[in-house]
Amino acid sequence: MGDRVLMSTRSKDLALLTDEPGHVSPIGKSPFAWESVVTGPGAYAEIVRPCSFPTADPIVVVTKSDGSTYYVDSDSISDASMGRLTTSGNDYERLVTVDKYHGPTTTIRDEYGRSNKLKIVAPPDLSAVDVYRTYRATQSQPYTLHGATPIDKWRIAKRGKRPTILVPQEVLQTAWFSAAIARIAELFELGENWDGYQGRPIAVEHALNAVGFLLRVMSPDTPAPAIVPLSDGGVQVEWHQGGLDIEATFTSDDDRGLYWEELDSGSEFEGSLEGSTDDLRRLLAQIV
Amino acid sequence: MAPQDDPAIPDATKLYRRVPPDQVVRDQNLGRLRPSTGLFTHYEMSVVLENKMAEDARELESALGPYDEHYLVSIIAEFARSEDQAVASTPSTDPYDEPAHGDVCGDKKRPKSRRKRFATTSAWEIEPPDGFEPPSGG
Repeated sequence: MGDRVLMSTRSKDLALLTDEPGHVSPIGKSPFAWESVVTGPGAYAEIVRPCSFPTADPIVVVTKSDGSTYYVDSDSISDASMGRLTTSGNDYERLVTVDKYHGPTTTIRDEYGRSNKLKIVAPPDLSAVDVYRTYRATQSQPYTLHGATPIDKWRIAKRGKRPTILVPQEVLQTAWFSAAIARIAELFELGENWDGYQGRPIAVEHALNAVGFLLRVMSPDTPAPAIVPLSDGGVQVEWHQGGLDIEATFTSDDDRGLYWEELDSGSEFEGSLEGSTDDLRRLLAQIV
Repeated sequence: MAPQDDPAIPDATKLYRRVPPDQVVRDQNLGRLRPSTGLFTHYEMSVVLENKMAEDARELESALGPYDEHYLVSIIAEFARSEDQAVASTPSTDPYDEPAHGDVCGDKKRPKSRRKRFATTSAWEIEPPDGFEPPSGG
């Protein structure tokens, strides 16, 4: 089992993609109603798009047989115009094309007739591509294209621009991670003026930065922090125990930073989130 | 322009501030619930002035305005001033009528240590019920 991908879409959803073909665990309020799974020898890809935000681009996640995971989004693709292989299904079309500028691409047309193109760097020999069968799928009924191209040979052109965090497998088992993800999903439910002080909805960027920060400083036994929304759309992570007050603030302005106080000695620190990781780990070890 | 301190507001005046449930944290060092320092980030921090409410013989609960699911803490005007904050009466009509509205403002960026003193010094006036589990977790 390799790392898994905690990712954001252009909407305010998070999805925890598992290593099992066809399985997507939505986190947040919008279900992922469409997905396609292409299986090959020891590998598969998933195309995920949240149904309630139909303008969002699909994302392809490729897991190789060694468990490593990659993804690619459609931002990297321009016109595909050469060497087209076309197939039509009952519900939408899947096209495999060769882009004269960018190499092989896959185009997906959804039920609304919109197309999304996905760049595929390999395999170079399109005769190996066998993704002619298409199906309509729902979250509860993911589908599989048997006999598809051996995508374990594919390379992914680039990573998308979405904030994305790789979550190590062992972290997924920890209590603090489960609690943090559940809490962040709650925060995404907060709308405009959630605090009565003109509070803004929580920004995905700040939430994911907070998760990334926790991944750097937490050990499996570290107590879960309190995760508090801020009026400007930021997130604050807090511990108040063991004689320590620790707060990490994730916002857009210069408020972003780290604060702690050791209550016995009265010593305080207020500064950057970067460069303080070792000291913070040492402090957090005191409250395990 | 930030309001200037209003000396007509006595030092002993309580300054009420609403607390959304999402900004309540469990402080195990203090052994109690308290508002997060995140409640005190606003440069111009809205409060409701006790002395103005008294002039209109208002009930404490009315300081919540339309947010009756929120809780309420108070700080003392003298404490705010000791933290280099101005306390001013700023009656408001938006987003709702609050003739006892006031502002607490000081540094453009209120240092985190100062926010913490606000958070730990504040006293519950309308507190979460017994058994309340802060949604913030921790």
